[in-house]
Amino acid sequence: MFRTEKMSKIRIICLQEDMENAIKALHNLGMIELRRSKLQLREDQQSDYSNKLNEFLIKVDGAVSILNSSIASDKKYKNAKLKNIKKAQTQNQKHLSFEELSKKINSDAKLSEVYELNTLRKTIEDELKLAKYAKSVAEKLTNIDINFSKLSSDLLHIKAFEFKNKDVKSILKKLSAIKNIEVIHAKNKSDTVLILAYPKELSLDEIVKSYDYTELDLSSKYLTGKPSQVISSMKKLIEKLESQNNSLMEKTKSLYESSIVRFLSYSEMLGIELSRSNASLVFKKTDYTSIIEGWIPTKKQKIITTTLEKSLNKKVFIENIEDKEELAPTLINHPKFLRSFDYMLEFFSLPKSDEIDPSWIFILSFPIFYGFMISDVGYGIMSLILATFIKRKTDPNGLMYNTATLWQINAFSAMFFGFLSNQYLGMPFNQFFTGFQGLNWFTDISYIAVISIVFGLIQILLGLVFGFINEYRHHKRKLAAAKLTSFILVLSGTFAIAGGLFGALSYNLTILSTIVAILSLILTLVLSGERALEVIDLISHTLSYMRIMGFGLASVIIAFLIDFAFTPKLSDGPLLFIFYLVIFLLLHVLNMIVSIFEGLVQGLRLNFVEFFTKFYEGGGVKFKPFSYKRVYTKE
Amino acid sequence: MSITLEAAIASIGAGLAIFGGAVGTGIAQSGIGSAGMGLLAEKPEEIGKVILFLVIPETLVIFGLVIAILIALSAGII
Repeated sequence: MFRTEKMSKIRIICLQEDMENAIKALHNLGMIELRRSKLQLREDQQSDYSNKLNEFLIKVDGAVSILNSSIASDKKYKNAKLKNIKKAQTQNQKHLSFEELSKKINSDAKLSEVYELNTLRKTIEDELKLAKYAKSVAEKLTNIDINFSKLSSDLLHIKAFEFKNKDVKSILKKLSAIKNIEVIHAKNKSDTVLILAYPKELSLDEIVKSYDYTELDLSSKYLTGKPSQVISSMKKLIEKLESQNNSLMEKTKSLYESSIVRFLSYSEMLGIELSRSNASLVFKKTDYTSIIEGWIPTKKQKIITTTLEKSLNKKVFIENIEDKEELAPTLINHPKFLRSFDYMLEFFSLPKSDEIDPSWIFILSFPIFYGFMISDVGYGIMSLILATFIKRKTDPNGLMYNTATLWQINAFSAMFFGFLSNQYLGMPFNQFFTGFQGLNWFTDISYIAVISIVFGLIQILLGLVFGFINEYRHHKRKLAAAKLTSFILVLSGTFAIAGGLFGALSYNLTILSTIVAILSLILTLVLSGERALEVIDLISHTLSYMRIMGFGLASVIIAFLIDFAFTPKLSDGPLLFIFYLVIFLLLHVLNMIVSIFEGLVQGLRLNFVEFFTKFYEGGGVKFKPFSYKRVYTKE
Repeated sequence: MSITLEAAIASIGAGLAIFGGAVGTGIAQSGIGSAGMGLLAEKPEEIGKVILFLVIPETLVIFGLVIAILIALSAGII
């Protein structure tokens, strides 16, 4: 329960001619994270085969990317894509060898067609951009009599600048002071275009750059004739290009529908072949044998051995090796519905494979802290709805999705504690179906404070026990003893405070607890060495759990105030009733959002800061088995 | 409703305890927050650690709350 999956390192030795089969078998099993052997033996360099696979993969993935981007903005095709995937799952393509696959890809006319269509579309889009620009320039100059074809000279610069109307007067004044300059105006709504003709040796940069301006490019191939002629011809051209573009888009979409699954199956097969080819480079070799090492979950060793022996006709030797230099990767095997807790743990830091795995304590305590802080059935239901909505709209591998999953799970805890506290959007409702009145956040505040501290004590003490085990395992006996004395200090200190300040214990027991606390404090300080100051954390971290009460109280009081001021009453008339109802709901949603955010952050913080710092090192590396996932093909 | 002078002074004391903790938290969080935003501009994937560091000074206001509750309890306000 408190250990990550036990891992072993194995060495596999097989005949060179069987290497390919061994890779295939290991790849299919997906249970080993490969390592290059540290034995001083020969190793292969990048092979031609890998290069060829890469070339094909780039070609296929490029086509997939073009097809995907062409339908990215079209919801209908996005849905079609999903349908296609489902279709592919029922009509799987059999895995092909590289020879068969390369022949198939080379002869696939649709693949070349995707690239041809893409080149054509790009050319048309570029032309369209030019035509639209030429039209917009011409539109700005419609009220002057010029001919674009004549706006060129070997001796003169002919440039067009667009200025704000408010600046034109000042610019013209400056330009009038310069000799040999011809200016033509074209005033529009908010801007004025000035066409300037001046000798090439003259520079107007100094004048122009002190204003807000845009230079218009008059060199476009479509700017010929008068502005009105350009506008009319560009309108026709734009219409023609847009129609061509639409027709190409339709062809691309039709290609998407007919070919995307086939291309994805190529990509999948090539990807699998490439990872197998790359795996062969991790093997070390003698004249006749190939050697590979890797980490496996210990309980899977039997199945790996049996499968390899079967695939290689028993011509394989597998041995366990001890590697003291390398720490095993971390594998945490939790049920699927708890994946979001693992995500959060990973987000913080994974436990190392040789340290205590606290994830079950985290999984149990986090919803309790969260639920206690929210303590409202109404907020629980609302956060459940909100979290379900967020999950539908976000990426299943992203932070938001996993956070929403935690909100979903924790919403039940909020409802449970809400029932215990008799809070339904800040109002009591238990009396309608049960006699249970539960905790009152206003009058039972001292009990709630004690409950919060007890939560803290349980976690801190558990953390110290874990710390003791971790330090003991790492042969740091002195620090392990310090954890033990810290444990006694926290326990006896709690008894001493409970007896001394609150009279909860007899006089003799209080004195005894105080003496034990002082002795364990001295011992902890001596044993901790340079970490002696961490003793202060024992007090501050335990008190820190009072935030459970603090944030819970804030949420409950705000809900109470909203109810006090804005509960809608039918006696106020229909208009006021609706007005109050809207304000009432809005304020409760606001309070709920603040509460669920605080509940999440503070719940995580209590685990990651107060609890984990007692024992946790983290920094584990996730186990990444040599495996693949097939969606579009089958073995 | 009448309130004794002792209870009034104790209430002010409890308020000041929270006030001090809240101001301290605010000052600490402003520094951490701005540094955190700087880090996020470079490495958005570090958001988890930034949030974690950002909430650490909140312990100060919790201490304020603890003191306030102790004052309120000893003065018989709650």
